[in-house]
Parts: sequence; C-alpha cells; structure tokens
Amino acid sequence: MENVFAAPKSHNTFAWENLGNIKEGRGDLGEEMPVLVYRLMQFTMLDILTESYGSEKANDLFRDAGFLAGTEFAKNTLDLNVDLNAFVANLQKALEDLKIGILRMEAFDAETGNLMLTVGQDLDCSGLPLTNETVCNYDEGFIAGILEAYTGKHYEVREVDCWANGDRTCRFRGTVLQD
Amino acid sequence: MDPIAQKLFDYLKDAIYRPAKAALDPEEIPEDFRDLARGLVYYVESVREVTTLADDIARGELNTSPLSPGNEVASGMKSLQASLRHLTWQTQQVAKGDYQQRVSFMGDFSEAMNDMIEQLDKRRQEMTHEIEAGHEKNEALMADVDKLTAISYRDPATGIYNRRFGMETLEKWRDEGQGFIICFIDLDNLKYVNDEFSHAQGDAYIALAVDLLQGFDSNAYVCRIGGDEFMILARGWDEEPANERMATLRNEMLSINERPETRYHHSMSYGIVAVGQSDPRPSSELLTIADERMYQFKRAHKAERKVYA
Repeated sequence: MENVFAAPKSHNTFAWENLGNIKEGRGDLGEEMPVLVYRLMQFTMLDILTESYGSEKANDLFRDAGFLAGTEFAKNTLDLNVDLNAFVANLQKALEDLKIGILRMEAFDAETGNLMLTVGQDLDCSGLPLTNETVCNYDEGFIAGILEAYTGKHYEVREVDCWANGDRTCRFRGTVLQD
Repeated sequence: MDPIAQKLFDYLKDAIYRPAKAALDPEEIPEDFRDLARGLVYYVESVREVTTLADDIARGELNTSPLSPGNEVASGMKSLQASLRHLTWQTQQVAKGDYQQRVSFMGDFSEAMNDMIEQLDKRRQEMTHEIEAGHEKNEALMADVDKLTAISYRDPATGIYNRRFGMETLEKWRDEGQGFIICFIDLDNLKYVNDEFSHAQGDAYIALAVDLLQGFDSNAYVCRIGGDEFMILARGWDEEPANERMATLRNEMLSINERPETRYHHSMSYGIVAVGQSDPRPSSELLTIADERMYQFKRAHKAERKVYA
C-alpha cells in the first residue's frame, strides 16, 4: 500500500529537519542521553566500516560525515554573520551547551586563516584507553565543516594531539586549502 | 642489597638527584627483571619530558612540544600548556578590545580573569562616556565661543558689523594682498535729530541709513564704526564706480526730504579710497585719506541742507 503522506526524502540522505522533534518524541525521556550511547554507536560503526573498507577509508568516511554534520550544525544553529571573536564565543557556548566539548582557541592567523584550537573533555575520545593514535576523525571533519560554513574557505583540519595518545586535551590544526 | 636491586635503585636515585647521569640498559638486566627495568626507564623518560615541558612553560615558552606520543604522565602538564595558550589568545583579543571574552573551567582563575575583563570593560565604558560628555561640553563651549565671537563683531543697536570687525577685515585683506575700496560715511544731522526730536528718532534715522548702505553690494561689509559713522569694505570695486554707487544711495536718501511728513533733513557724506593689491601705503594713511575725503564732501555739500520749519 502506498502512503502518499510520507515524506518523499529518505533518511539515508541527511537533512537537518529530518532530525525530527526530539523534545516531542521523547516526552518522558527528554532530549539528552549518556555519552556511552553515543560512543557505542560511533565505535561500533567504525568497527564495521573498518572491517568493510579498511581503517584508512573508515576514518575518511567518518571525517566526511563529521564535515557534513559541522556544516549543517553551523548553518542551522550559529550566526555566520558576526566577526570572528563573536563567532568563536558563540561556538564555544554552543559546544558547551550541547556537551560536545570545551573549545579553546590557541592561535589564529588573520592573514592566512590558519588556526590552532583545542577541545577539552571531548565527546569522542576523552577517557579512551591509550592506543597511541589520534581517533577524532569525526571531530576533524566537524570542525572543518563549521570553519568552511563560516569563512567560505576550504579547511583541512588535523588532530595533532589526542586524548587517546596520552593528552587530556585534543588539539586541532586548521589549514586553509588553496583552491 | 641484591646487585640487580642495587642497580635499579641507583638508577632511580640518579634519575631524581642527578638526572643527567641517570642511565640504565634494560638489556643488561636479567630477564626476570627486564620488563621492570624497561618500565622504569619509560617512566623516568616520561617524567624527564614533563620536567622539560614544565621548564619551558616556566620560561613562558608555550609553543614547544618536547613530548613523545602517548606520554600519559605529561597529560596534566599538557593541559596546563593548552590552557595557557588559550589564555594568551584570549588576552590578545581583550587587548584588541574584545571584552566579550570569558574564561571557563579554570576555577578561581576563571572568576578572577572574568572579573578583570568585566572591570576593564566597565572602565572603558565609563571613559567612553566621559569622553563623549567632554566632547559635548567642548562643542557647547565652542558654540558659545562662536556666539561670543559673532556678538563681539556686531553693533548691538543695528546688528551690522562693528569697528572691530571692520578693522580686522581690512588688515586681513591687506595681508592677503586683496584689492578693495574703503568708504567712510558720516550720517549728517544725527546729533540734531537726537537733541531736537528724540533718541528714538535718531535710532530710526540710523536704521534707515543702514538699510540704504546695505544696498551698496550684497558682498560688501557695512560696519558701524561710530555713533554716526559707517565704513563699507568692498572687494571688486574701484573708486569711480564706488562713488557713483554711493551718489545713487545718497540721492535715495535725499529723496526722503521731499516727502511732506519729513521733519528733518536726511543726508550723508562719504569719502572713498581704493586700495591696490600691493598698495604700499599703511592702513592708517588709507583711513585718513577716506576720512579727509568724507569731510571734504561734507563741506562741499553743506549748503544743500534743507531747513525745516
């Protein structure tokens, strides 16, 4: 039977509005959930992707997903028409409010647009067992997506220090890519 | 003490008190204790890196990274380095005037820093208000000065320019090398009108003369330089056309005498001198010439005065 009322779009294609009305949908349980659940989903997905495509490709896919999330997050929740300091302040607050992490800017080169920032108590990796690798590929994409949405420039963001390699703060370097 | 235990103990002691000399090769340690030796070396090396980073931070060098990947012993120090780097950036932004910066998750330090930024912002706002208030006062003062200057250049009775303005303008034009004419005018009979009719009549007579003289040229300056004396300064005029213009104005005044209601003789005398662009004569001489010509004119026209019953 065909349901002519169903939304024409598939959930396999991301759209911000398809995140749904969480408040209404979870009237009793509320809008929040433990980080454990987030990580359970993320790391099982990484596991399956790695099994299917190898770790490098799996990391790339995670990064791409993070980029899409960062772009949509910036477009839908942040004011993109304010100056850099106000934007960073708003972003810090948004990341804190949503308990994603504590963002701190360490350096910004106004000429090149390159920057260095840290995320403390990061949602993805804080408290992970030590593996001597950087694991915040999703964060790399997420930050790149936000920066691109704000500046209109293509950013490559790489994690240079990660909780999973012994640092309590994840540090990211953002470099503007020349088109 | 067992020799192996002694070796490990000495290494640990050196690591604490003589770190430069501390050395241990785990391969020289019997297998049963080799992992312990490796762990000890790893720990000592990790601590050494922490010490190096702490020394760098103590010297204010916040951008060094002497740590091996996975040095978990250093994680607290690295967090401190990250916090200091962030604070450096935030302080730079505050220095640039961004008082919206706030420090969070750093305990008492956050509170102290945020208080300081708020106080700086408050002080800046107060200073801005003070400066704005100062500007307003200054503008009001300047407006008062302008007003006073304008008043000081005006004759209070007629509203036209006064002697001060006339003399300053004359000197200014001379300094600028401009060519112009000076015309001295004396209002005839004013004393008589004041004495015989009233000062109100005298004032009306003066006002009539002022109206007339202002018709000389809209770009000329008409100044009252004495009770019954006036001076016109006009650029772009020569003596002859200026004399003709004044004769016309004087005739207009004389025509009043023909009106039946007129009770006293209206008349004025004038003397004109032209000042060249690089006229060598001093101003006092030019003024004297204009004054003399005015009296010559007065004497020459004395007989024309009409006598009223």
